[in-house]
Amino acid sequence: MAQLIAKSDPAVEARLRDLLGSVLNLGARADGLESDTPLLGALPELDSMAIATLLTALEERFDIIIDDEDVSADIFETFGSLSEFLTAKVAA
Amino acid sequence: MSRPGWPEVRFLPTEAGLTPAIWRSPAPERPRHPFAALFVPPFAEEMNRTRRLMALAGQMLAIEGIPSLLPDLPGTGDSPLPFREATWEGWVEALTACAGHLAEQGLGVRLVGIRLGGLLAADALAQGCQAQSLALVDPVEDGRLHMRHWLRIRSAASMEIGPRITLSYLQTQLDNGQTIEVAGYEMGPQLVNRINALKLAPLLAEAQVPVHRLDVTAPGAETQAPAMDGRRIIAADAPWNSFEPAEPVALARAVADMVQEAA
Repeated sequence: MAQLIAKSDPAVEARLRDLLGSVLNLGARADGLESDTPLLGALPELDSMAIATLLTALEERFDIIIDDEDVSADIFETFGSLSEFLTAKVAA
Repeated sequence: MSRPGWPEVRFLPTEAGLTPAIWRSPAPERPRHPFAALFVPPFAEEMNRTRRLMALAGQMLAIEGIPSLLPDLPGTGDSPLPFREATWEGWVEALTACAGHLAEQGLGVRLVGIRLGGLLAADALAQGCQAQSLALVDPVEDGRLHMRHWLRIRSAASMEIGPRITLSYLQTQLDNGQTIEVAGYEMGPQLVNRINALKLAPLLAEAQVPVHRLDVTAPGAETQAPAMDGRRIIAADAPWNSFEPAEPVALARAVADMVQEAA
């Protein structure tokens, strides 16, 4: 995906880690989220209701609009893919 | 024999047929308050996840001498109507009937609307439901955004197990008069369109009763809006969002306190 050329911004990563931790109620496990940590299909907390809640929370906290066309399983594959997606969104 | 806080089922006549409702009697040794809490549950799966919160708050109120009623609105819970036949008007009518049932027992009605239940309670008040106050818990402000959230849930579920279903596909189905299924609930276009058209602010501006509000923010959230306009804010896990909700004791306490003070 062309829009994911941007590397993920460490500041975005830190905010995303906090947000994932609170939306998914991960507790201390949030600290262990690294670029290659798998999300979708690996985190049981990330069910369909959580994904919808997360998308809304991302829009509010990062002041962005996430179009449905932007959303795919790819961006939720790992913590790194999600933060790269966000970095590109925030920069756009 | 009814015990304080012990749930008892009542079947209340409403236009959609009998509506089951959980009644909790107040503790006999406490001075009885001349009012009751009437819980207005959230939408679809959020209601299930919030049930424990409402039960806990109801028990806490019972201990303080305050009875409560928690209806299964037509099309939800043990109501005989299938969810796909639920209508907004049916919910407003049933809620109004529940308030009337409490009034017949000489009890003032304190509405406690959670999430979409907040919007429903506000609309019921605007349509003549009799109550002495309205307590809102993380209410839905904009019906359209809430419905978009539910369409997103359906769309997100298709990401885990394909093929991908887009929001525009779901919207087209609704526009064509078809029912869509989200998280096990069949949502028809009439209900979705009715909720789409509702906003909380104009309803509250018209409200003739005191309105209280409790918002829930995630623990440790980086940006916390300051409390304003008498709003209360609690940092707690929102059970309606939780995959495996923890026992929502602190939140239930905050809800019960708000109802007690909501004169």
